[in-house]
This record gives sequence, C-alpha cells and structure tokens, in this order.
Amino acid sequence: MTAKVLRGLGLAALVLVPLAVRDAYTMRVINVIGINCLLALGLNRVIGVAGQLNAGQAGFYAVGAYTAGVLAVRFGTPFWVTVPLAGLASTVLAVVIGPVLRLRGVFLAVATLALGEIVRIVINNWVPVTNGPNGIPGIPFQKLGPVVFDTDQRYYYLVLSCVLVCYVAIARMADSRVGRAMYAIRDNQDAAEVMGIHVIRYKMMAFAVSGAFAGVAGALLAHLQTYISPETFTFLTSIDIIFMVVIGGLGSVPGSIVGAVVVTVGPEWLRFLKDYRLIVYALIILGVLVFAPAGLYGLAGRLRRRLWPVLARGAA
Amino acid sequence: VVYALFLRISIINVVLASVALSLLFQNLALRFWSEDARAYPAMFSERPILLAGFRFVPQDWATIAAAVLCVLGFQLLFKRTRTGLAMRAVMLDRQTASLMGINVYRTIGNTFGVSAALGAAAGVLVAPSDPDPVQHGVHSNEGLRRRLPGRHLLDSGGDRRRAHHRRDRGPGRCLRLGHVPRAIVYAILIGALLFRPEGLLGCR
Repeated sequence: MTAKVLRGLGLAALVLVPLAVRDAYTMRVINVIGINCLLALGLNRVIGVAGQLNAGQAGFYAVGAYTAGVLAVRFGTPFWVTVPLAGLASTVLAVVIGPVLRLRGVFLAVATLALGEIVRIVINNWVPVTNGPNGIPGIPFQKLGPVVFDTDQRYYYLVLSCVLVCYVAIARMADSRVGRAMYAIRDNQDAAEVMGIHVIRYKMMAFAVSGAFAGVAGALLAHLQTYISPETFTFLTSIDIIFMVVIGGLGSVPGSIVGAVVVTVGPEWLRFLKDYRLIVYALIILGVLVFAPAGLYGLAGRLRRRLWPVLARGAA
Repeated sequence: VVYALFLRISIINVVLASVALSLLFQNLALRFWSEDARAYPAMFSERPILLAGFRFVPQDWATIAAAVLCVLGFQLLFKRTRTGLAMRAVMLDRQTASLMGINVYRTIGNTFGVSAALGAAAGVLVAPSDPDPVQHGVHSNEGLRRRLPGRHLLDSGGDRRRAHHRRDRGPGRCLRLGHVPRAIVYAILIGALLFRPEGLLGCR
C-alpha cells in the first residue's frame, strides 16, 4: 500500500515539474534526461539483462533520429507517425545485424562498435538524403491536434509519456518468460542453450527492444532540438549510454533512470569547476566503478540493508 | 596499476575504466600543455638520402626499425620469459593457469602495463611522421584522433571553421568520399570477427 502511495506521489511530482521549473535551460536538461532514460532502459535490456556488450547504441539512436528528421522535413510527416517509424527503423537494423549476435563478449562489443561507426559514416556520406556533415536543420515542432509542443515545458509531457510507457514495458518484461530467458543467457549462455532456450532469438529480441527504444529516443531528440547532425552520434555517445547503465546498476530498471540522471546532470553541475570539470568527472566515474561496481542503485540498496537494522534498533 | 582494481569486477567495467582514464589523461594533458598542437622534433633527419637510386628518409626507417624491434621484443617476451608464458597460459585457460600457480590478476595487469608501454612507444614514433600538415606534431586529442578512424570528420565536428576550410580546399571530397573506405574496413572487421575471430595469424 505504502509503495503504491509513494509511486502515486512520485508520478504526481513528475507531472508537476513543468509548473515548478520556469527556466528554459533546466527544462531542456530535464527533457534530455528523459531521452537518455529511454536509451539507458533499452541498453540495460541488452547489457544488464541479456549480458551482451553493445558498444554501438549510438548507431540505433542515429537511425531513429535521422528517420524522424528526414520524414518530417522532406515529407512533412506528423510526429505520431515519425516516432513509431523511427523506432521501427532502429528495430529493423537490430534484426538485420542478427548474424553478428553469434559473437560473444569483447568480440560482440567490437562488432557493435564497428556497426555504430558504419551507421555514422553512412549518414555522413549519404549527402542527398541526410545532408551529410551539415545535418538536418528545421525539423518541425511536434503537433497533436491543436496543441503544438513548441516549448520545453510542453515537450516534457511527451518525453514523460514515452519514458513511462517504456519503463512499465521493461519492468513487466523482466518477470516474463522472455526476461527469464535473457537472464539465463546472461548467467550462462551454453547452459541456457542446453536448456532449450533459442539464444540467438532472445539476443535478437533484446537488441530489437533496445534498438526500438533508441529509435524513439532519437526521434524525440530530433523534434526537441529541431536539428540533428552526425557528430551527436559518435562512439563516445555509445560510451556515455553504457556509463548510464553501469553507473545506475546493471540489470536494474530504476538504476537506468538513476544512471541517466547522473550522467546527464553530472557534467552540467560540475560546470563551476571550468577547465577541471572533465578531470573531476572522470575521477567520479572511476570512483563509482571501484566503490560501487553494482551501480549507484545497488549501492543505495546495500546501504539501506546495512543501515535499516541499525536505525530500527535505535528507534526501538 | 589502476586497471588491476577493475579486473575482478567485469569486462564492462574494464572498458569503461579505460574510457574514463582516457578522458582523465586527455584533460590533464590539456591542462598542462594547453590545447594547441605541439611540434614534435624528429629524432632522425627528415631529409631524404639517395642510396643506389632509391630515396630513403632516415626518420621513416627509424620508425619502421623501432616497430620491428618492438615486435621482436614481444616475441622474446612471449616465448622466452616466465611472464610471457604466464600471459599465454592465462589467455588459453584462466582457471587452469590459476591452478598451476599463476597469479592471474597480476598477469592480466602486466598485459595492461605492456599495452600501455606500447601505446606510449607508438605515440613517440608516430608524432614526427604524421603526414598531415594541419595536425603535425602531438595534440592533447591524439589518442582519440588515432582511435577513431573518421579523424577528419572528428576534426570538422569540433571546428566548423576548419570544416568549411576543408570544403573550400576540395569541394567536400574528403567528407563525401574519403570515409567510405573506412566503412568498408569496419565491414571487413565484422566479417573477420564472425568468421575468424582469432585473427588472421591466430591459432584456432
């Protein structure tokens, strides 16, 4: 009961955020956090649940963003068509790369990294469609009937809706038959195969879900910024998304949200350090990796388990 | 030494730690030596020498000789030393190596150490022989420039003025065509990983 009340209060607080935040910059950062949440939730399915190291998430993100951008600018497609199509395009890419999923561990990481780079290079060089390195400017604001999502405050509700839908879908998937099969693959791929789990199919499913989320995130980014360019989707973007997953906690759904918040807000908060900002940021990441290898969400759980009996005893 | 902290956790943490360390060192270099590229003096003459009708640039030959020496040194390390044998044993079967008394984590730490030393050697060798007049010398971004093949794109991404300059020089040729072969290289890499993951000269 308490958990349900807390969840309800949390949801109400999230809905009220645009009323409390009037600053455009802060609101933009909050929207980017939402988009990063989608990326982290998707990648956590691949890395944390299925145990496959995907270092090319930026490729799926780029495909989603460019699908939405090209459709909206060249064909005037409305956003309620571009966003699902962007998700679909990234899912198709994830399915097309099926043969690569035979690989494991570092080999899979290198292959996915290469795929991400291939996508970026193709976008950079396919000038007639993607406008090459100049990117696609003038992506229109999203409209839903008479409502135009032309401010960050209004756009926030779109991002929040997408994050909530994806969060619930991922959380429900964790306890499903598919989720259990993915956990089995993560723990021991050979044993899972012996037990009759079709490893490649489930790996592909994990990549497809992750790709779909990244595609939707890309479409949301394209309509939020109204401009996209290939330099947004570099290898370092993929690494940032992995940071979100690992810092939040591998396999943890709320951890993905925590990771997305920390990795998005962290560098912004450290701006007062000026030139030392990235040095401190790198040290913080190293510190988290050393002292909280299960992620910040895992660390919070561990602290709660240790401190709770002490606090309860003190209260008694 | 720092990597040793992550080896017991997971491969993902090692990968992320390497990126975080790269970010750290790159920004430290930026703080200490500024973001301007530094001219790196050649250790040997760059003036070509005519020998039996052929032109030789001593610096280039010194680079090749140093690379060959590194390869020979590696052969000796792997084949003739206990450390090298331990590395090969850990590569083949970590658990069996551990049962035979090899300190697996220390051995893996050693491989990271050797790899870092080689990276440093490569940095020293490659800087004087960089053919790009714009980027000649060493730069705080050197590691990233070398690691990512789309180097010109990376540069143009960071500096739009330079990107326009490049387009003016060669009607966007380097941007439109110059990187397609990179994509092919990546495709070949994926093919190699799929069909011969141990590498062209690796043992099956």
